[in-house]
Amino acid sequence: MKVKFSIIILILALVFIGNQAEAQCKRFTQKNCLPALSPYTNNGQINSTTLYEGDSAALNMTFYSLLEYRLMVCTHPVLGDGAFFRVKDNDGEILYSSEGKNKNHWDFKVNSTQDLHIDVVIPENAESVSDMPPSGCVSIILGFKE
Amino acid sequence: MTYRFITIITLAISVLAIWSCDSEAPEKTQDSIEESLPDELNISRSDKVQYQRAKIVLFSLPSPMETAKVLKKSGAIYDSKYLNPVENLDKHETSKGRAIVMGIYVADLSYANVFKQQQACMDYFAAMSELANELSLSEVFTKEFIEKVDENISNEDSVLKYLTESYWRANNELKEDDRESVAGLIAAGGWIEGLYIATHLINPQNMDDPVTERIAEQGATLKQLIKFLSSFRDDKNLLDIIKDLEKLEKLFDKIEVEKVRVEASTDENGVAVVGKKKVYKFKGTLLQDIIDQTKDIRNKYV
Repeated sequence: MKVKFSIIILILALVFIGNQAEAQCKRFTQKNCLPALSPYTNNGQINSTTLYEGDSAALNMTFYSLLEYRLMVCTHPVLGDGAFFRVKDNDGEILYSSEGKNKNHWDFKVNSTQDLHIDVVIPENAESVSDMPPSGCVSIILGFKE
Repeated sequence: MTYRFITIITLAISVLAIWSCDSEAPEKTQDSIEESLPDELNISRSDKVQYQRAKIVLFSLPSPMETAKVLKKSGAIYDSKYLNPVENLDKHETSKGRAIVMGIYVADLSYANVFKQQQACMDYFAAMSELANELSLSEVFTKEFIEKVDENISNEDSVLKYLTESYWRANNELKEDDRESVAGLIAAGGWIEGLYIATHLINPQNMDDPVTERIAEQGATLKQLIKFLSSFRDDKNLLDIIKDLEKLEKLFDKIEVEKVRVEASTDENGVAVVGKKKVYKFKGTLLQDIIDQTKDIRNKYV
């Protein structure tokens, strides 16, 4: 009985923590990322997650040929400024990489409607002395315009 | 022993949870929130190397708002008879049905808005507001938000802004509440309705119609949509719609696609233009088969 009760409390605590992280990430995205999409209109979708240094995330999405897009990768400052993203087509050909460009967005159009694969990389910080890798919110947001 | 272990872990996590709460407690300013961003799962570097997390894979689909813009740019016209009347709202009594219809109305509203149909926009916003309440999405259509929409209903850009905002808020609230599969149903409803409208605006005999190319392009989005819905493995509410979409996928797979390599360039405004060019061919009755199948699926859910 006591064990069951403890398990329920444990699950509730984990759910609570997860929701806190989601809510914080939402506020971070709303304040720091969405305004920078202007003059593009946000597509209304949420692609955010919490990453650690050394982690990576991938996003697959379809882009229409008749629209112009701004792809933005917004990372919380705690993750440092080394984060970058790569955009590949379905055949694995790299169409863009922000590595070394110190830029968190890319404006582009596609010749034909197609799926593109976006990789976001949070490099390890070699100079860090802490034993705990920092974690923070990463949002991949998209704006479009005619 | 087991009990002691669970109790210790529970206490540790509870303390962490309370701390996490407390760190925001003193008047939640944005800056304090940012400084306390998720850091609750403390993993040491050595542990991390040992238990490297799997790469996180996210899915995203073009929104119904983008699809409507693309349809209009391709020469589509407005015809209200292809939209799902708001009177059909009361037909849906389950959360699943309501979520799919919510997506259908987002697509209808997007289509009405790009053709500046004010009355239709007002009607669909009202229907979406009712559905949002039924789906317990309390943060989406607040009183203030509805007032702002009413004041600006004649402005296409404002309506697009509010529609996008409500779509974003709904997705956010569903994600926070661990109800992402409901967001999946909304996305599926929106996608099906967009395709249904497009397939009814073309003459299947005229392969040169640019809207026909827009339909062929939906094959890529369909694959993303199926992957996205399939990622919620245990949700039985999604099984039917995944099955329906897979039938459609088999037809889309029959479209012949020729990829042509094009050098990356920039347009007149200096914006990069990338990716291969694709040329689509429908053989025999394939286009008509897609039109019929889309109609069957869509009519099942309205």
